[in-house]
Amino acid sequence: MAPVIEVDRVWKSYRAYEERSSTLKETILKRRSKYHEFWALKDVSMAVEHGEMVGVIGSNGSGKSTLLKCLAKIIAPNYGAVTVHGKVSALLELGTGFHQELTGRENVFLAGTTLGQTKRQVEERFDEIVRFSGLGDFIDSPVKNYSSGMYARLAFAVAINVDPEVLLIDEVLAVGDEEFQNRCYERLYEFRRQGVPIVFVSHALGAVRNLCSRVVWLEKGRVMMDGEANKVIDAYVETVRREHDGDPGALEHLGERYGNGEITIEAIEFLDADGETRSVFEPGERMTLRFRLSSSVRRDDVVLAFSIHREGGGDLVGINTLTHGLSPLKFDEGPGVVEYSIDSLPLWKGGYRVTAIVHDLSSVTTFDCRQQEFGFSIAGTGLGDGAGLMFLPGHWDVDGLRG
Amino acid sequence: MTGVVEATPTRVVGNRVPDLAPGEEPPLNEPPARSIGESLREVRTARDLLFQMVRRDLATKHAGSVLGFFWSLLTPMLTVAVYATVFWIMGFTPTAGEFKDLPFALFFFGGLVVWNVMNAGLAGGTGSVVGQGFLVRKIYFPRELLPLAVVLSGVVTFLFEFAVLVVFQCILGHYPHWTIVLAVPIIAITALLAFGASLFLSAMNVYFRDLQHFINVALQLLFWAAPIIYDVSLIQQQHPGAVKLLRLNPLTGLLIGFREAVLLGKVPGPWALLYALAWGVVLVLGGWWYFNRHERRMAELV
Repeated sequence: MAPVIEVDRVWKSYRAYEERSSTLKETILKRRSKYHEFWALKDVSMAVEHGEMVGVIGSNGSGKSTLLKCLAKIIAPNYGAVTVHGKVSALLELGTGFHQELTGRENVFLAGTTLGQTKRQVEERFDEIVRFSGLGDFIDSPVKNYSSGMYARLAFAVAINVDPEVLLIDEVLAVGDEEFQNRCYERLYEFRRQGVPIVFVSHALGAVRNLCSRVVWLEKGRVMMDGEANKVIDAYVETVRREHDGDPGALEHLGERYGNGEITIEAIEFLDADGETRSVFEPGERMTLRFRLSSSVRRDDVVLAFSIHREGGGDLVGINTLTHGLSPLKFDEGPGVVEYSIDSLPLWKGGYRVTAIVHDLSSVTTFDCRQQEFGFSIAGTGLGDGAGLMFLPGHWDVDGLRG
Repeated sequence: MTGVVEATPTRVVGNRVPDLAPGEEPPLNEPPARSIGESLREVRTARDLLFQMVRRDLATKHAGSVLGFFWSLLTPMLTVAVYATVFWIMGFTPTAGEFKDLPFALFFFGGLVVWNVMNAGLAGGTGSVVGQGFLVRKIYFPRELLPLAVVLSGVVTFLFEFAVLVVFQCILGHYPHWTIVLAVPIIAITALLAFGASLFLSAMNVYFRDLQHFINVALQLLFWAAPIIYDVSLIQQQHPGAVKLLRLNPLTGLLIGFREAVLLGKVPGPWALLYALAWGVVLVLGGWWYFNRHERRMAELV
């Protein structure tokens, strides 16, 4: 079957105005506005199959949003062609099409039709939208009287109660509280199960990794890589880290590094059962975290701690050398290695970052702390979609059933 | 959700990609424009949205005011009252010729309702794309819906004003004749003119933001350059040349025709109306052509 979305050698230029002569006087006097035109998309080709959820990642200005706007028809390519089979629903912003002076009810119809639905379709879903928003009788008050939470709930209810044939999403999930985000994700999973092809633009690499099977990485308007999600994201993270070496915060989930530097964490390595360094693991696999340290002092009161953080989520677990009854570590000048072995990785499919810290027994002096600079991912191939945060290591016994 | 792929995909086609050496960039150009046929098809499929936009326009025009929508009726009535009072004090009668037996207030109101369709279309239509920039940037819909919705909401307002006019003329004893149905084609032509002009103006406004201010002045000029508050015969004797000029304005024929059909019960001569219709068709085709040339870049510029 033909791909649902086909982007064929698209070039798109933008004008960056230095001084835009938007008044008549300036236009008459100068005749021409000063601007330079640049290519925001260069020779971009991609395809999305039915039922596929494709993530688009890249740094700011890489052309992600431009690509999405091209798919949504909001802007037109200079060269090349964009073909979409099916009705496109683009969620580029919550509350698109809302008008402050109108009531919630009127806005549902206005925004619903703005999102490409017919009046009848909105009517059919109206009750569900109201129920979902939890607004009750407020639905007949003007939205200008809503609290920001009510506004967001209604906007969200309208946005997700569409019957998309093709869904385009740009960072809309980045707003709102955690509960709200979870509901967004739930709905996205639902769409994915229904086979709706989705293109998802996001900075939240963890979310992209969790949701998307394939990822397209754009850089300066060109497709750098297009392939299996974990592979592309790992390559992207690697490149950004290399480019911004010593520039913490280049990636939003890269924390800072601090400490007095008397003892330093040189590297964290992730080893599999065979002792090989890897970056992708399976749930339930054996993994060893190897901390390579280096000391310029003699200390006998050192504690090493680390925590595992889920990309796009929170801290999962924190462990230090004392939690296992180990006495404080003794350091001589020179390098040293500390390892922590996990017999069976209790983690689900996703991206994980590790924060490590070495400090003294009193926790007053921090020698080195590297926040979420190192990471690994869990592929989870061959496993179904489990629920929750953890993988529960164990096995099933099935007896007495057919077979 | 089925796996059936829609028979007619949406396809946005840019220019043909030239043969390029690796690393070479093609020359900068403009995305190719849509055809008017394509525009019409898109507008047709988006008619539910158009309806909602007209509703919103009407609902929000006077939002927050106590009398709300009634201002749409009150404003022209007050305007008529002001002019009628001033002219009465001055002892000046602007009605003449075939309309000399009509009370001035009725005569003026009959012109004002037609003019308001034009006025609303132009004044509101000019800023319609820029004013809805937050939508244009975020979602795709045929952009001509924006000026079209403004013009149509002007037509809806007209319907209410028209009802007031009819009541008014009955009170004054100038009962409507069957010719009143001719108001329909006359207002349709007026709306066509307003739509054509606002296609031009709304697209131009994206590039020249001053246009919005300029148009308000231009509308005042246009108000006096059409026989709205006076009759053509009034200036016939002193300035026959000015009348010739006046008749070039397509609104002149529409205003005279509307008053004849609605207030006098007369069938207006067809030529002035056909002349206005020709203007309307040319304006809409030209306006749409111009609009489509710039439509592709609107999301980037508003």
